[in-house]
Amino acid sequence: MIGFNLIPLLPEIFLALTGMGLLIVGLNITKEGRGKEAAEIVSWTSCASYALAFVVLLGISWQPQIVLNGMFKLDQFAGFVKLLILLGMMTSLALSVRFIKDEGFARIEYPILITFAGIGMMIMVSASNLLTLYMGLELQSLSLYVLASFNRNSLRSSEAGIKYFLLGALSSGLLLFGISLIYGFTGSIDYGAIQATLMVLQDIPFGVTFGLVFMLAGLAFKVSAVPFHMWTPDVYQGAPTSVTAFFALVPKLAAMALLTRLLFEPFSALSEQWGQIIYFISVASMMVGAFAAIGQENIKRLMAYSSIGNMGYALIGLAVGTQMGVSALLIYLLIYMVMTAGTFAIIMSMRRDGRAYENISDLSGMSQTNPVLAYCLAILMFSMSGIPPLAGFFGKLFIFEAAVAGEFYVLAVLGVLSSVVAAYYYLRIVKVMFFDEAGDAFEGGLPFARRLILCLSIVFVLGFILKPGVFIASTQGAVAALFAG
Amino acid sequence: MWNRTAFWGDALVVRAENDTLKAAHNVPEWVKLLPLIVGLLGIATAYLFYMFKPGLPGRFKAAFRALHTLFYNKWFFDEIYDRLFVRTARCAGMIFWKRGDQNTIDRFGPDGAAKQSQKLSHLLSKFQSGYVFQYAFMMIIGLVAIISWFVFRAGA
Amino acid sequence: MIEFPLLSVMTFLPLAGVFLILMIRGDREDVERNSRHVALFTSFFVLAFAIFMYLRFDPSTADFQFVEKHKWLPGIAYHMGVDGISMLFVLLAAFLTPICIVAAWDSIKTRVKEFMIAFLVLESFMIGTFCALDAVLFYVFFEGVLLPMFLIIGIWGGPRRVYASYKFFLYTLLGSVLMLLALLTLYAQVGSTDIPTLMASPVARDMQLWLWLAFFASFAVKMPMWPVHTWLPDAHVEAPTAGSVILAGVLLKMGGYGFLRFSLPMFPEATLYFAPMVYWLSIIAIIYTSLVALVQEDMKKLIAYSSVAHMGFVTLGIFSATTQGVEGAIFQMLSHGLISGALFLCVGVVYDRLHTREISRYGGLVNNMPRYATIFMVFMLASVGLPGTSGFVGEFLVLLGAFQVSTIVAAFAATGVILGAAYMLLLYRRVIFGPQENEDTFKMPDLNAREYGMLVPLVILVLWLGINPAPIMDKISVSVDHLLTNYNAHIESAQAIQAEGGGK
Repeated sequence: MIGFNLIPLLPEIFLALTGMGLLIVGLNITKEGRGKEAAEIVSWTSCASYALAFVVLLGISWQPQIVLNGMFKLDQFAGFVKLLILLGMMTSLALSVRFIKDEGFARIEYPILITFAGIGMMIMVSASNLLTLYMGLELQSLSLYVLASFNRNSLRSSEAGIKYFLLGALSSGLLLFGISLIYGFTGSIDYGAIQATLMVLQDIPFGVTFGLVFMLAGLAFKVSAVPFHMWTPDVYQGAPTSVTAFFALVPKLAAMALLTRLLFEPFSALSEQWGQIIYFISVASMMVGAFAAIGQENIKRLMAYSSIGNMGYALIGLAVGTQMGVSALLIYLLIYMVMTAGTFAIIMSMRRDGRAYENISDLSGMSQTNPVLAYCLAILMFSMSGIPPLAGFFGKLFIFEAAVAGEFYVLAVLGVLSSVVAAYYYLRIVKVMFFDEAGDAFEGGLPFARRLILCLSIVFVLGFILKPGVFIASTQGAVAALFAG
Repeated sequence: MWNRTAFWGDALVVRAENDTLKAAHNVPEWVKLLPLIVGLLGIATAYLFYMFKPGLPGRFKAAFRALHTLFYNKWFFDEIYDRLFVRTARCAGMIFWKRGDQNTIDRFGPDGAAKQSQKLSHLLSKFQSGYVFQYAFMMIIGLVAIISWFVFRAGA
Repeated sequence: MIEFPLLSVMTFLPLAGVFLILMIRGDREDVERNSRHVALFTSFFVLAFAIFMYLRFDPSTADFQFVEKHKWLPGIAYHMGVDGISMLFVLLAAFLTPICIVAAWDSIKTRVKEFMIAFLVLESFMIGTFCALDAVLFYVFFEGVLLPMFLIIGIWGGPRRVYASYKFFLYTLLGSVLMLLALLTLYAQVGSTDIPTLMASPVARDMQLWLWLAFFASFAVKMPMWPVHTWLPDAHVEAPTAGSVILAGVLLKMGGYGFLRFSLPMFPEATLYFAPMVYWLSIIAIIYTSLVALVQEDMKKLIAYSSVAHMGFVTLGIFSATTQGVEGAIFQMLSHGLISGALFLCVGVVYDRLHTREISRYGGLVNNMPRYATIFMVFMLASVGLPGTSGFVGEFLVLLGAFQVSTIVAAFAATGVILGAAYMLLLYRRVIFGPQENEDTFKMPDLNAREYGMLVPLVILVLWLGINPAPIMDKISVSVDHLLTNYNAHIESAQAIQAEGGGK
């Protein structure tokens, strides 16, 4: 009955092969003493391979199919999220190439690690078994730990890597313990089987709830939801900016998609239980993200809190537990990703005298010294704070629409209130750039990749209002697959 | 011939019993003459006081000091108004502005909220100590809190 | 004949102007000069379209006119149109923008290009707000206004500009997000965000009360009503002259417009329920802020507080839900848009010369600036509400409307008129008459051609509308009647249902 069908895995297989191949090629070039060149070649080749994988993914059928004895599932939801993951990988790698060269840690491992992290994430999205879930998650996490400490010469970077690793190990432990509890009570680690078992149970055993809580705690760590967010500001600040950009762009999207599938497929019968947990961590994330960011001085740290807050909004979509909520979640993440990409393109360009600057006060008077960058950043910040007619507003609009339609009024009110608080710190960046006295200009201009990404991001943010239907339709299609089964 | 009903139309309605203009024609004759007589008397007195016997006003002033002061200051109406309306209004305005707007509405409204947010932000950043064990502890506390919530709910 | 999308053209023409300004290259002086000209011409074009719209407007129907409808978001359409209530606000916005650009001609010296861009974007959003016939579209424009205004106050403002711009932005945002939730709730309940559809399908009473409060949060802040008015004095004082004019002239009217467009027709029962509260808040606003205005030492702050007081009349008129009250409120909003804008321009004229707004620094201007004194007097008297100026008509009608509802309320409101005369006359006496103590005051030249250009049209309009309010009244009366007929019908049917339910 179950044929050996690898076609749904083609993008992952392709990426794994090119990743390993590029590792060998890159090592050989490095051996010849051309390390910096090697890093550039491998980076651009990896970028190209993501683009190819993108095409391959578009080429294969997205009809829901489960392969490898129920381990792996490709459907429209997974397909759509994988497209976003690949786009995010491409963006963050393209942004990095110049940065790692400027900062002096251009090594071939960098793009390779991103590739492997990406494969991990794609597997997470397609996991249909708790084992696949764990494998994908760990492949991703291990690559990310290394990436966080990639700048070995920087004490902060190493510290960030270690912190991330230790806390990540704890969260993996929690996750595994949760999985074992689930296995113990349901007798299976297969999504379908768990779902079937839980469906027929009259009373949910306490152990299952416990298992669910532990699993959610482990996953909440990955999406950096409060109270499992403590690593985020330190790691965001400590890691090299290009890595921070990657962290902000992709892994959360993957973890969120994994969480979504987990909650709506195997644990759909427990929606009452997980609804409460997600509700709680969503509110906590929005509040902490909004308030804690106010006093920050470092822009990367600020972005960390911003991402915590934004995950809080995204989680509203899950807490609501409707199809509308999940498609709002997807579109929210998409918009957030684009805005973050543009923002990091600018943060990476905050260089002067060959040094990277990352304090908010360094942006002082930027509207006079670097007007174009300042206007772009202002647009992105206004968009992040959810002011129409920019794209960020629509992300929030759909999320709150779903919340209100599901009659989660309190959650929605808390959400909008925290968005007003959050607007304060986004505005602060605009204020520093526009209202304060001019400091020194940033130098070096924008490399092509950064300029392109910034341009695309701004066009998206400004133009989303014109043709929002395209994106909405595709997310709705993706989510429909999740709810069909 | 000007006709007020034709000119004002319905804009000014005068009921028959309220038509004071017509009633004014029917007052006794002495009432009609009164303004003229009082006016003439006034002119006569002024002539007496200032032309015929110029010393009279001074004597008069000395005799009726209080009355003169009252009349001379227009019955103190300006002062009464100043006390009663002008100063009260300014005083109330000051109170509303300083105490009302600045010390109540702004203090407990926008400024207060901003200050509290700053404080909360400061508090939250204190949690961010940089120590891994504290972070891990927070995670565990969060976990325990969620689990206790479910235990509590199951118990209740 | 192909329908000409008049409203969209008016809304987006300023953005085309922005695009043109962005295209300007050359050295600094050229760029500044050209961007001024482009901005001015663009706004004149918009004004021409607006006048065309005014002339083509059919006042005999309460239907929406110049309607455009296109698909946009699922369930949410790009729906534009105007009726008698909104049409004149569009005209007001289109009329004040060129005046503001002229006002900023010389007084804005830094980043002229950016200023003109911000102003055109602002014009686009303002017109869009009044034209939108879809609640979400309305919200997009309504909120979008915050962006350019934040920058205008923050970049070109006075010494406390940062505080003022934050306060303005966050205060109004806080109110608006609650309205957004209410809009979405309406969408969930009715299944549409189309304003005409929403007007025709009122929701249950309990729901109405909550939604009314959420909308009120937004419009009351925007209006602004006591006690959420404190952002206004700060914003006005710190904003550059042109910013103050547009803030007082148009942005405040969005609140009143919102009440007329949403609160009254969509939540009639809630409006009836909350009306007494609004009366008292309006009364407090009128008397309280008039008294506060009396003791101000800063010219702009005084006028800002007077705006709050005048807006108190507007809310009073709207919620009296009588024909005179609502018509008076609309008239008052339009006339206040002209008068308060003009007063801020008058302050700007002397501010440009002496760079201070402190009342005590001036005095005796009548000697060296007689023409200025005359024009200022017209606006001062109009603000007081002297018959023969447009300020009188609105206030009078509002009092008439309020009187029908409650004698006490009308009596208190009338007190406000006296206080209004007190602080305006005081301001005028201290600035224009009185001793001339400072050397530099004496040297100030009288109005120049540019200043005439921006003030004289306002003088003409203020006097003309005061003598002959028909051009406005004719356009609004049918729409207001329609609004109130529906409002009363809703309330009657609701009361009938309640009575029936009580009988059972």
